[in-house]
Amino acid sequence: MTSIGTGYDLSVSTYSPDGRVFQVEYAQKAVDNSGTAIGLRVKGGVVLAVEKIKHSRLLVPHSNRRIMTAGKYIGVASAGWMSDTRHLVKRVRDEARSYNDVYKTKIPASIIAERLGMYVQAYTLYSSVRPFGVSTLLACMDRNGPQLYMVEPSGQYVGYRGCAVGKGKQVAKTEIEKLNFDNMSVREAVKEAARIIYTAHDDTKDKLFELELSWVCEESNGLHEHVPQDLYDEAVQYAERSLDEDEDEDNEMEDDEDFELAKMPVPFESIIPFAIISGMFTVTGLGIHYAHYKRNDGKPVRYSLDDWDRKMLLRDKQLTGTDRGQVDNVVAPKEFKVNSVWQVHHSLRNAFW
Amino acid sequence: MASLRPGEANLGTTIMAVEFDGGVVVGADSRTTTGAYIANRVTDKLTKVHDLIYCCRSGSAADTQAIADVVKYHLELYAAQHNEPPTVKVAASLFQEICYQNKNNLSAGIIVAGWDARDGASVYEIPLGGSIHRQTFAIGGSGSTYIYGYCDKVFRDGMTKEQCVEFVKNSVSLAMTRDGSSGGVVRLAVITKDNVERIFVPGDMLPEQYLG
Repeated sequence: MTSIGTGYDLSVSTYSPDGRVFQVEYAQKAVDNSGTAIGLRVKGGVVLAVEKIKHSRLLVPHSNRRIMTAGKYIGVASAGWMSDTRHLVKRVRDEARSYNDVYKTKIPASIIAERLGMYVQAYTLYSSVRPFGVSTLLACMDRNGPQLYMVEPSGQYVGYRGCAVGKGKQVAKTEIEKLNFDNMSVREAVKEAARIIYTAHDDTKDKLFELELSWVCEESNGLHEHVPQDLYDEAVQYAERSLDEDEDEDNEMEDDEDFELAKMPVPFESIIPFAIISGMFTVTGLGIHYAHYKRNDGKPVRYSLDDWDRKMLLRDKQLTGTDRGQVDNVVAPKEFKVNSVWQVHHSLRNAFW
Repeated sequence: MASLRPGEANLGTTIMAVEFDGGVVVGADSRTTTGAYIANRVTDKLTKVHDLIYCCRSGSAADTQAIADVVKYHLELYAAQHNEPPTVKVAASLFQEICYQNKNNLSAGIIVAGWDARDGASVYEIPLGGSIHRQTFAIGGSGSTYIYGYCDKVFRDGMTKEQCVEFVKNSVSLAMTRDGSSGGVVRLAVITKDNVERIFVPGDMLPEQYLG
């Protein structure tokens, strides 16, 4: 959706004729160019996952974290300018602290989201400052349960059950929409988050990346922290495995819990065509058998008939009325005189000669 | 701690608040004095700061009224922002913040009591220095000194609403008899999750006691 501002995009305090503030939209672009970050909220907690793109192999692993904790119970993940993110995290910490100083209670999730949203929005009012080029995901667990908010560079904040920002957000969003949030545990959500990040990661663009996973849930005692190493490893394995599964068409299923084929009964409707066809064959066969039966007076069918046999059959027909009827009378019936070809011939001879 | 200026209205007072299962009972006398003159003999010292949160004021009348107004404003704002009523803890914390930060200029002893959905019934006392104390029952004001023994003896856990009302009524009227700065009528308020019931006990209906 690129469009040229042509003069209305020089300052954030200028509207365009169609009501847009281009500088804020450009700030959103900065977000779209950074590594993917996703958040998943399930009943037991919130999970954050970030695709931290490394520009060099020399970077120390687990340094320069993109997921930060503000105020123990609030997790902050973001996409966009990392330096802006650090500033915003400091702000979140200050807000949480000042709320606690006045009200002596933990700041609720909706309030911290509102405060951060208002702060970010303030930077979209004046031409002397630039808007923040970050979309922040706030994960908190308060009295009303786990909550996930996303604050955009415009200052708008919305609560989500699952959201994605950054380069791979389209792919990630599609994957997130397939998830069943109601029946997922936090551990499952961690593994799914890892899988989605791996799926959304574009290998052709940036090879090196590090996955960051964090959660805030009951298992972490309501504190926001990076997931324990064993769960992290499990999640990475799950993610890599499901990537391999997607690529490999002829993959043989191992006896692995995760990939057991679902056992489903065959629906009875699929038998019907077979039944019909078999029935047709049966009817045809039986019909033919019956026809033969009728023709042959219940006697077996005679095959490979030659002329002699046919003449004899004809004789039997004249004698008894049916092809297969047989009598052993010494005297022929009266009709035999006229229904036999020879006799008629004989009579005709007598008639004319 | 500032002391009252000469001529300033003084809530000499006896104030009290008691918790029971499902609510609180707050009570106070009704005397405001400027020196020896009783400026108001039917004062209402039980001030509403939110629907189900009341505070009992003692000390300087002006100071406590001003503080209660500020806290009332903040609680209204809190309710609007959070979309739910504030807890008694939050109200007490606000009182404490003001009393402590301005301790040199204020003379206020406040008891905050009420009901909220999270913690149920709560009573907090904020004496002169600006410290905060969560208690099952609290007494304050100049008259309270005369009834410490009585309250300690009579109070038990698990009293019913009616028993708490009797307890407060008795205690306050005993204090009123002995303390020159307390007197007049006894005002009570019973706060439960459903509503606030205000009870007025005029001077001639005070509980019986030995009057010599």
